[in-house]
Amino acid sequence: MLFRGLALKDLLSTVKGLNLKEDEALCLLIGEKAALDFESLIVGLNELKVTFWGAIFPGVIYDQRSYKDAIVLLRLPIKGKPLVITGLDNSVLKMPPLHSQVEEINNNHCLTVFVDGLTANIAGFLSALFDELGCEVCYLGGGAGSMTLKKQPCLLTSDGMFQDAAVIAFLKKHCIIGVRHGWKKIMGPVIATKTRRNRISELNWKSAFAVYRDIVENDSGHKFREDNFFEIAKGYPFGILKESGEHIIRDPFYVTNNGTLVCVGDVPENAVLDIMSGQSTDLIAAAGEAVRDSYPPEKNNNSTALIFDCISRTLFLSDDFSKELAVMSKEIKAIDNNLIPVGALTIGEIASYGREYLEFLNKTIVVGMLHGE
Amino acid sequence: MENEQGFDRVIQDISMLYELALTIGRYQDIDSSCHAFLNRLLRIKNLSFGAVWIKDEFLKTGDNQKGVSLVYATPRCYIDKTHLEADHQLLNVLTRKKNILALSDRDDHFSDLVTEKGFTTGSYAIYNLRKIGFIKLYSSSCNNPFFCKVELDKHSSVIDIFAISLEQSVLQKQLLYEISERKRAEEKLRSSELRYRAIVESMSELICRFKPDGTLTYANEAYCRYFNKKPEDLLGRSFMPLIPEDDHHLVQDHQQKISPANPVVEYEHRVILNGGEIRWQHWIDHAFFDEYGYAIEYQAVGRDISAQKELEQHLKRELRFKELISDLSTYFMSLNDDQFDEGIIYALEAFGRFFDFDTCYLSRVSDDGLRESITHEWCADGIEPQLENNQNRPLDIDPWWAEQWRDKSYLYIYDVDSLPPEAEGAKRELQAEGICSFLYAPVIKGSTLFGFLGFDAIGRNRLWHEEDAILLTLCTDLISNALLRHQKDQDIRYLIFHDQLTGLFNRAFFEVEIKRLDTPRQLPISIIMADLNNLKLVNDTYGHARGDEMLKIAAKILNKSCRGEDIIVRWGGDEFIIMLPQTSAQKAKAIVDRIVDGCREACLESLPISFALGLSTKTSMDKDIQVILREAEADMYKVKLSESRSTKNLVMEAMLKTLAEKSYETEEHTKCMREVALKIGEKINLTDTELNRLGLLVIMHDIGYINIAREILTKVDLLTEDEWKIIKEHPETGFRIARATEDFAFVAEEILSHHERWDGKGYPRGLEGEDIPLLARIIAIAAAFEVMHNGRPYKKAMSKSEIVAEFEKCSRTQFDPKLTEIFLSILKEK
Repeated sequence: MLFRGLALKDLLSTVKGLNLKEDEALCLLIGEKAALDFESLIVGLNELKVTFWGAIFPGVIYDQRSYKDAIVLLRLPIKGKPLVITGLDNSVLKMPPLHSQVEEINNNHCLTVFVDGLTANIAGFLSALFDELGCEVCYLGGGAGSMTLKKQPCLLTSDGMFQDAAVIAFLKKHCIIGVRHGWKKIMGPVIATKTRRNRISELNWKSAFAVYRDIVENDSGHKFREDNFFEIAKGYPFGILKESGEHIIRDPFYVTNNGTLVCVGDVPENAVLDIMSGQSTDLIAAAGEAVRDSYPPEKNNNSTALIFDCISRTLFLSDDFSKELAVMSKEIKAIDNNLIPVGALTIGEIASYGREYLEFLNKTIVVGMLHGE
Repeated sequence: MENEQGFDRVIQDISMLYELALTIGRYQDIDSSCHAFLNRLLRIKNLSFGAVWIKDEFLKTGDNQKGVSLVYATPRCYIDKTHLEADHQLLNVLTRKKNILALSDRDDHFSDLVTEKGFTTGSYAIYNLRKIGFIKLYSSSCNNPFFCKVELDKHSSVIDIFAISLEQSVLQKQLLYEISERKRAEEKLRSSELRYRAIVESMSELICRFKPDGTLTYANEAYCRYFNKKPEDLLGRSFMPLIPEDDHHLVQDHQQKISPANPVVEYEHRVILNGGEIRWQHWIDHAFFDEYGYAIEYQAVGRDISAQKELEQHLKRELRFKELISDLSTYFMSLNDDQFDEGIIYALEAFGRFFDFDTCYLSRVSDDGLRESITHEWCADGIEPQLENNQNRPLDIDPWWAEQWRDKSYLYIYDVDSLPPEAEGAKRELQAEGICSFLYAPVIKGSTLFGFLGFDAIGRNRLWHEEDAILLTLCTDLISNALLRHQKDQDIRYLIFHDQLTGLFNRAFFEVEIKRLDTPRQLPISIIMADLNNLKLVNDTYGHARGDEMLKIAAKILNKSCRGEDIIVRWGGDEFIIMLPQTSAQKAKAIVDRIVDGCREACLESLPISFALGLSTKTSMDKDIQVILREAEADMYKVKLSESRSTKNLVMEAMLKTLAEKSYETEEHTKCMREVALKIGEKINLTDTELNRLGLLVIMHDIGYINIAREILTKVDLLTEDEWKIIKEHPETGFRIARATEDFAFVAEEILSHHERWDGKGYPRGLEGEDIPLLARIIAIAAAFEVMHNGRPYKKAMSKSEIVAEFEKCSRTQFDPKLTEIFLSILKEK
């Protein structure tokens, strides 16, 4: 359900009209430009005694389009209440007890994970989360925040707005996840011989930027200047090598004066990296594959297709981005013609690859096909 | 193209192995090591679960030594889901196989060996981590390429490296465990020490630590407060200066007794406080030893026990005193009486030393209570005795002195110099003897004041505590008891060795003394044997009371005649022995003469007193003293024999004279009687001897009256029955007197019978007829005639015819008829 340009009271009135069941909650995917007083929204929803959780993303996806100023409302069956984890800004991580909730969730249930995409310790949080829950659930979500990169509260529950935090909610839904990015290796492997979290200082024991620059300039034919790093780098992310799966993409968005490359997402030291490059067609094709990967085993009228698409892909694909959304919509409708893909443009995506290790991804499409219970 | 891809794959594999390998050895602890390696492995190989087990023997955490323990699992949520028993089984399998075990849900043993909850499908790879344990990797997918044999083998080397690293971590953990255990122990110790210190500081007991040389290394607040010193003034310095030098050896001795087998010692010693005050402390020292058994430090807990010590010393002192009194009492009991003086001085010394005075003495108050004399004295070394100077000292020196004794059981003066002006007399005397302090307590013997027990401190003041008053009372009581006992001993001794009547020594004493004195030193020894003449006569005549009086007079004569050192003994009834040590025969003779002279001046109611005296002298030890005794006795008998008759006659004369004075027995009466009696005797032809007897009987027949009071004998009125009874006793008395005298004994029977009647109605025996001795029958007629003829104050004289008529009347009743007839014929002739 997409809302765009509606007054708060109309939104609340609509929510009220949904007549949510006791175990149903409202998931709000909010475009950062949505003209809403979020505090009032929370008060209003609390007054309606609606269980809800949500995040403000650079944009939201509804069907074949993305919006910066719209709100997508999802009515989902939920186990318990959404939980807030704070302390992701390198302070003490406050993880609520999750074991009891996991016990009561069936094997393939889904956990939505919205995280402040601009906070410092997303990797630590995800590691702790995986430590707690293992492979018992499907992780699905992405990084919230503003494209302005200004840090501000971007997560919301009935308890208020949160920054440097994460909000998770256990859904009473099975989920099949498709993760694809479409980037291709152009060179590698190189070893990230010196890293610190999301900063790569050395590659193959050399200045990371020097190594990267040589490869990229050689492949692109463009020269890096002080003002065009991202323009070139957005087409040449790093791919962390993984066995039997796609690379984990790390998107360098900034280079420091001493040649350190700053990425979205952590790069483990000594990680084996490939330098990736992408073609619009490959990326768009990968989006279709991601959807196809997430096809449920059987047709289901009660499915929800959740898409978390990296905001950097919109930047890279530019005008072709709509093609990506169209491809995904088309593939989703192949399952059910009435099924409308919804989702968000994220600052980093969260998914367990298939049913395996939980990762924070860049420049990737994560499709979660919620179905059944 | 395929080659290029293959090459890329190889590079990729090598790179990933390299990436994995570089995660190894970055951390030293097991958890971080496992986390770095396993998480990277899981991430790279897209695995669901990884875990590491290590054999307990390598862990040595002290918690579990049963087999194998899960040390790391990721995700951690699976930790609780592992099945230990299965893992043990797995360990056994791995130990046997020593290689990689790969299992998928298609394998038969999958469920046997892999039992993590929920992992019912998928693939497992289990690597032996060398010999320390194993690693388990799981993917929920059966299609994960990692689980093919090639891939597993490819990773075995890196896992082996991980195993080596882990082994080091395990060893390090052991080391860390040991270190942390040690640290924990140290921390515990430190914490304990802090707590201990807090307790120690807040305790009122004195607590300190010190080195074997006494250097203090720690002293708690109480310790510093006690000595009024700051910690910096105490620490690093020896505590020995705080202890009086006399006690140093005591402290050192006790500390030397400490050994590893006996590390604790308790003792007491004195300390000197800041102001110089001496206090007592009790300490418990606990020593700490080095590996060679040498004490390296002591920890000591102490407390002030001065009050307790004072009490203890007081009790000990009292106990010591009571023991002293008990010993002295026993001592006095065991003393012979002649050791009494020695015993008293011994007791005085004990008292003087106990109370720390320089002299202790016993004085005796005179019978008139006005004066006192020191009888016994003890003086400490260097103190001049004052016994001789303190004889007959007046008790009323001054009014103050007399006043002091009112209602007081003792008098104590600490400083003689501070006595008041009214005590000037006493003060002067005391100062003259150098007495600075004194203590004076009365000694009561029985219920009367015997004297005083005195203590003097010479040239120094002696502090006396009132609580010792009770002890002083015990002293005086002891002395009093000793005096009483001595008195009793003296009394008993007197009773044993003295004659009660005369006060002279008795025979028992003589037997002892003669042995004691029969020594060469006493030579010459003279013995006088004295026999009191006529005692039996006096006894028989006047009764034993008079005889006793005679003996007392005799004893006085002997006492008066002898010297103080002479031993006068009543040997038997009337016999005395006088032993004269160191006395020649000549001197002894002089004593004999004095006795004789003494007798001349003495008499018992006109009866003369005399001794038969014998003398012998021992001049050589060759002669047995018993022989001397016998010689003296023989000499005495010899004298007695020669003097006996004369002395007896003297007595008899004295007696008759006495009788004449108190009765009507005049010479004329006797003459009248004698004439009548002898005429009768001649008529009946008595022999001359009988006539002499008859003549003596006339004189002696009423000698029995000697014991009858004059009032009865001369009474004019009728005699009372009692008086008659007394009168009737005189024949018997006369009989005894006559029998006692050799010269008159042959008329005794007649004296006894001269009041018998012919008809048997006379007295004392009621004889009749001719049973009555003839001379007695004659005397009866002669005596009756004399009374009738001469009359008495109570009876007129009768005429001849009346006398004849009376005799005729009384013939055959009172008088012998034949003799009456003869008498009447004589009367008619007259």
